[in-house]
Amino acid sequence: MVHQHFMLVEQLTVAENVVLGREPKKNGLFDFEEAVRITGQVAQHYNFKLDPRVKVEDCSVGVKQKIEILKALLRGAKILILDEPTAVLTPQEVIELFEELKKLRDMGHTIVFISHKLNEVMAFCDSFTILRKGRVAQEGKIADYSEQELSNFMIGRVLSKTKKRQNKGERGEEILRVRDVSYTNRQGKKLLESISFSLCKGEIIGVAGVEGNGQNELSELITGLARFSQGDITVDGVSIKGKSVRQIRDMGISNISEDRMVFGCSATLSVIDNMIADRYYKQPYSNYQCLNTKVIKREVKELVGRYEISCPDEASAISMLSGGNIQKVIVAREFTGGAHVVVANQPTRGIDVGAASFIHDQLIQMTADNDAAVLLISADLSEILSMSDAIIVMVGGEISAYIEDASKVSELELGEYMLGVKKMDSSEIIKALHSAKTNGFKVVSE
Amino acid sequence: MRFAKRLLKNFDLLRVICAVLIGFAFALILLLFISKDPMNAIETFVLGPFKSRRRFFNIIELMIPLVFTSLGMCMMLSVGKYNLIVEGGFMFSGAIVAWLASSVFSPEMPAVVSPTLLIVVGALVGALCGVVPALLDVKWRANVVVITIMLNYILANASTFVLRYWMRDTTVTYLGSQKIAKSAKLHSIIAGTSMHTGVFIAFIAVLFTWWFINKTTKGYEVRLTGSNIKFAHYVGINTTAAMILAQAMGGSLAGIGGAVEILGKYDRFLWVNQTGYGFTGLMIAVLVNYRPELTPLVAFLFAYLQIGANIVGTTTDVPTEFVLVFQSVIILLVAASLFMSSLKKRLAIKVSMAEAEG
Repeated sequence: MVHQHFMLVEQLTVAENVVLGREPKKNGLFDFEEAVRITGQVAQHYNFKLDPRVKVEDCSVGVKQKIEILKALLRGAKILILDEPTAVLTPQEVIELFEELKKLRDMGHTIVFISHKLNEVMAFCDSFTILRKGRVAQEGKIADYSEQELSNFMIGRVLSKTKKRQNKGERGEEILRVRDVSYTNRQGKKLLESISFSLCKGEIIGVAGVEGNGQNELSELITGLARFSQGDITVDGVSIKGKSVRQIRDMGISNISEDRMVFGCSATLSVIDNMIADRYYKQPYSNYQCLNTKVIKREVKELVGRYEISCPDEASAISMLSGGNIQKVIVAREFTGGAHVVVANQPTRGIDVGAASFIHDQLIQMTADNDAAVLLISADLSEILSMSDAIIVMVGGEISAYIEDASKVSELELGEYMLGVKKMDSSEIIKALHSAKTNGFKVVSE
Repeated sequence: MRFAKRLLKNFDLLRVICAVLIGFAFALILLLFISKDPMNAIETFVLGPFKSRRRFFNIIELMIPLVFTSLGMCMMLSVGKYNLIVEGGFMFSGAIVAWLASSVFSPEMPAVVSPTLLIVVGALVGALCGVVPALLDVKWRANVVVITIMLNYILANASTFVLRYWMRDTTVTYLGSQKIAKSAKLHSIIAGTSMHTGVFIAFIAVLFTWWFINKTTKGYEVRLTGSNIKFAHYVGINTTAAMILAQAMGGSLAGIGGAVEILGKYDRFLWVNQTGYGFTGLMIAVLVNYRPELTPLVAFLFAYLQIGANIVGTTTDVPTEFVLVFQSVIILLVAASLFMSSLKKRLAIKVSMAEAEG
C-alpha cells in the first residue's frame, strides 16, 4: 500500500527508510552499509534510479513515492495499492511513474490504482471498478468502455433534493475581481494557473471540481491566508495584495473554511467566544479594549435563535455540539459580519440534511437583495447546480470551463468537465466570462 | 438529571477534587509505613497547620508567592506556551528589587512611594524575562520549554551575581545582601505574624488577571491564539503579538511576585538557589485549568500541605519531603488526560439521552 500522504521518516536516509522494520544486523547493531547494499540491489532490480544515502527530506516528491513503492517491493509485495499516487506529482513525474509501474506489471505484479483522474485510468489501467457512495457502481474492462461512459458511471444520477434556486437573471455591480492569479506552493508545485473571474453582487458562482484541484488554494488566496505570486485580486476595486487577514475581512470578505474544526472554530472555547471571533474588537461588542459582555451575550443569543442552533447554553464549549450545529455557528458568524463576499468552501460537507438545507436557504437570502455575493466551492454537484447562477469548473489548478448559466448545463456534462473528459479552450472561457459580465451590466443599466 | 448536568459542567473541578482526595489517601498510607508513630504524624500533618495563629498565617504568607507564579503560568498557558521563565523571573526580579531597595532607596524616602516604585520595577524586569523566550520562539522557533529551563539557570546565577558583587553585606558571616531600606518594605498587617500587605496585592493581581483574560479584547485574542492558533489566524488576529503580550504579562506577574516576596518577608536578599515557586505555580495553573480566579484556592491547598509537611518534619520522625509524593500523585492524576474520562463520557451520554427524550 502506498498512501496518498507519505509514511516516511524525513530525517533518515533512503536506505534506512526502505529497510525500516526489517533492518539488517551485524553483531546486534544496525548495519547501515548492508542496508545501502540491499536498497541499491532492489532499486536496480526494478530499474529505479535512487541514491540510498541521501536523506529523505532532501528528496523530491517523485523520489519519495519511489521509496514508498520500494518499501513495499522489498517486503515481497505482489499486489501494490496506490492511493491517488499522481495527486502530488508534476506531469513529468507522472509519466515516469507510469513507465515504472508498467514495468512492474510486466514483471508479474498486480497494481491497484486508486484515482479520480479518468484520463490516467484510461491510459494506464486494464480493468476498473467504480465506487460511488461506498458501493460498486460498475466494473469491467477499460477496453470495452469509453471515457464518456466511465464518467457517467462515476457521476450517476444525482438525486436533487435541494430546492432549485431561481435564477434572477439580474446582477448588481461587480464586487470581487480575480485577474490572472497564479500560486506556487513552497515545494515549488504550481497549484493555481492564471485564474480569472468576476463576481457581482447578488450572484452565486459555484466552483465545481474534484477536491484537491486548487479550490482550497483559491479560497485561501481570496481571504488572505496565503499570498499569490502573480496577478491581482480586487474587492470593490481595491487590491488585497499585501493586506493582512484582518484588513481583508474588514474590506467585506468572509469565509467558511472547508475544515471547520481546524480553521472554523476553537473546539475548547464556548459558543459565545466562537461566535464573536470576527467582531469582538468592533463597536458595540467592545469599548476601549474591554469586551461588552452584556451586548455580546444578547447578540449571540439572538443569533443562536435566528440560526436555529441547538445547544445546551451559549457558554458551553462548542465541541459539545453536533457537526451541523457547529457549522451553523460558523455560518451565523460569517454571514452576519456585514460581508459583501462570502467564500463558502464546502459549507455543507459532512452535516445532516436539515442543517444543510438551512444553510442553503441562508446562502440564498444573503444574495436576495443584491447586497452580497457568494463564491460557493463544493464537490457536491447537486449543491452546485441548484444554488449557482454561473459555474466555474476547476481541474488541476486551472479553470477548465466557465458556464454562464447554470440552468443550461446537465450533471453529466458538468461531470465530464470536472473529470477532465471535456475542456473548454481558453478563448471560449474568455468569451463566456466577457459576455457574462457585459450581460450583468446591461441589466443593471436598463 | 439536573445533578448529572451540573456535574458534567464542572467536571474539571470534580476531577481535581478526586485527584486531591486520592493523593491525600496515598500520603496517609505512606505515613503509616514510614513513621513509627503514624497516628501522631498524620494528626500533625492534617491539623498541625491550624493549631496556632502563627502557623495559619504562615500558610497565607506562603500562598502569596504561589498565587503570583501560578497567575504568571496561567497567562503563559492561556496562550498555549509552556514558558517556564516564571521561576527565574521571580528570583531575578527579587534580586534587582533587593539591590535597589538596599542601595538606592534611603530610609528617609516616603513609605508608600518606594514599595510601589519597586514593584513596578519588578514587573518590568519580569516582563523582560518573559519577552526574551517569547521572541526566540516566534523569530526562530526555539523550543520554549528548553530555552526557559536554560534561562532559569542563567537568571538564578545572575541573581547570585547581583548578590555577591553588587549588594553583599561583608559585615555578616553568611551570604546576604545589605539591609533593605525600612521605607521600601511592605507593612505587616497583623501583629505577631509576618503577614504583610502583599496579600492585598496578590488579591488585586488575581482580579486583574481574571479580568484581562476574560473581559478584554487583548485577553480574548490571547485565549483564541492559545486554544487554536490556526483559527485565530483565520479570523485575522495578530497571533505573534498575542503570544508576546501574554508572555510579557506572565513574566511581569512573576516579577511582581518576586518583588512582593522580597519586600514583604525579608530584611536581606538571601536566595542562592532557584526558589521552586515557579514550578509549583505551573502545577497550580495546570490544576485550575488556567483559570486565574481559582488559583488562590489551590495555592492555599499547596501552601497548607507544605506548612503541614514542615511541621511534620520538625516535630516527628517523618522527613518534610514526603509531601512531594502527595503533590506528585495529584499532578499525575490531573495531567493524565484519561483519568475519569470514561465517567465523563457516561455522564455526557446520559445527559444527551435525557435531553433527546425531554
